[in-house]
Amino acid sequence: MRSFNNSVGRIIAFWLNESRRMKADPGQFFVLVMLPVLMITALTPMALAVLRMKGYSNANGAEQSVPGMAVLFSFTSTTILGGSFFREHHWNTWERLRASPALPFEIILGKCGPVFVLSMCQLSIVWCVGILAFHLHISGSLFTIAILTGFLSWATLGIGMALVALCRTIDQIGIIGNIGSMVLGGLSGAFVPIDLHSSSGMVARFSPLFWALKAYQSVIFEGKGILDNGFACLLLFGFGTVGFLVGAARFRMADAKIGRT
Amino acid sequence: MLSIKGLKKSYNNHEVLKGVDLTVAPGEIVGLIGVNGAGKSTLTSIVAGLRSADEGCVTICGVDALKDPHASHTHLGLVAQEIGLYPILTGWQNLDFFGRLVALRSQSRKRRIEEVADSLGLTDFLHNPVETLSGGQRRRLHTAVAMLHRPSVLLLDEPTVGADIQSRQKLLDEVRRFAAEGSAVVYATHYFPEVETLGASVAILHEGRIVARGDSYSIINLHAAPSVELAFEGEIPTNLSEFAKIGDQGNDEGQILSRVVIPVRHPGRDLAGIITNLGIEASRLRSVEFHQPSLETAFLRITGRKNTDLEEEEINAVLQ
Repeated sequence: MRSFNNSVGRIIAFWLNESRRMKADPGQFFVLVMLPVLMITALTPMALAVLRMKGYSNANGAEQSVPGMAVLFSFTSTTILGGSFFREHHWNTWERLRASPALPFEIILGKCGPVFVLSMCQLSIVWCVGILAFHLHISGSLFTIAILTGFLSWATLGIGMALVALCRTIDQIGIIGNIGSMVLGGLSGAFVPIDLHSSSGMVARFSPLFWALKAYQSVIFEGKGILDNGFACLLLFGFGTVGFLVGAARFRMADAKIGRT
Repeated sequence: MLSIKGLKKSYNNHEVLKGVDLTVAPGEIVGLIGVNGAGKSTLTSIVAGLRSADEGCVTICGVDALKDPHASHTHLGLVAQEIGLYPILTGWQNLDFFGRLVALRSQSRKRRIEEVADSLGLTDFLHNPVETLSGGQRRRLHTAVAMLHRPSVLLLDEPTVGADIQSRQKLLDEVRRFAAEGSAVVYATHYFPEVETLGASVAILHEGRIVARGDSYSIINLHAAPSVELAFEGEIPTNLSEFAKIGDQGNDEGQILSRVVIPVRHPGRDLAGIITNLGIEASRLRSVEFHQPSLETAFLRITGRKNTDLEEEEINAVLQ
């Protein structure tokens, strides 16, 4: 029992430490929120034209740009998680963690938790700005959007954990995270609807961003609920779980990582 | 409290540790000294569970540290050579985090943070971000983290590298106090005066083995002899030519003096013998200096010349 309590205490310690680090560097969160909002502003007129062309006469463009940018920027949590692990090597605190009683699963849980919350906050703000500033009309419920956002954050976090275990340098994870989000987001229809570039349709099905965007738009346009999107939720959960399993299998406390660009 | 037996470690077929045996009792400070690359950091990192060993056994407070490193970590404090702190957090936040990891509860954690901060002179800038602290302040904070939970075994790997005199003194005082409270301390360094200041016993690590172990006094007595330095006008007398000449130097009167260092066992008596044996050459003797043996000279003898018999022969040759 005491061992369990100590374990919980250490996970809380990591949560607190990560939160303090995020609080000490608020610019990071500001960029995470501001970039998608700026992109929404830039892409909404184009999205409006595309949606009108597709026959959505009442659309205002936000129906494409807001969920598109939400899924695109959800992928940034992979680089944030990567930074959280890799900077420990740069600051030499990783050796301290290894010489402490903390177990690997406590470190992973303690680091993933705050990044999950950060990702949820980031996406929630993007959705709120979309509704309030860009007059996004959602036919379905916000609750469904929130649940889908949870599954999307789980998926990107799992992929992030796999990258943490597989990459050797912070540069590798940064490049994969940033370019990966653009490529996967583009293929998945984050910028323009996927049926306008149908050749990438099959490839997009291997991306969690595609399933998230498909589910979001079914809620926005068709008012579908969480049960209607059960398959998408299952796939998103699967992406995340496979990512975590790969991460757990390949994660080595003793691996030398380079946490400096 | 800390027991190391037959510890071996190789990197790419290069044997760094060739069977290290070392025991440290509660309250004891062991100065682990060795040249760069002797294996000090490898040894401390294996004990801390950061590296695996090829062979051997490490026991910390009865826990097998190689088989169950996590269990041993609750008894262990590590001050690694590189400073390991979160630069964007304050000193207090760093201490609080690492205090939580070692399961210090709220009140005792707060109390211990105040205690270590006070004893290491950190109180005034405890709430400043680490990135704004000086090198010496960071070094002290780095050490404070390892001492927070009063570990039974404290490992320090060159903890004063880059520290200013004030920081160095505070660290040494705190290490001494820590041992006095009952912790076993391993202090890896190549600054010999620190080992003497700490009143530590000595373990000399050379070529992968502990080649000398004991208190400083006995190691110095066993491995280093005092010496006398003689300065002669003109050349060194022929019966002293086998000893190390340390160069020529002019004096105030424009004379060229040749200097020679001779190891002795009993400075006064042996010097009298040397001067008697010099005969008429003693008239060219211009100065005499005694050199007391130190840990450094003992270390150099042990690691540089493995056979001290040679020196015994040298001394005897002069006396006869």
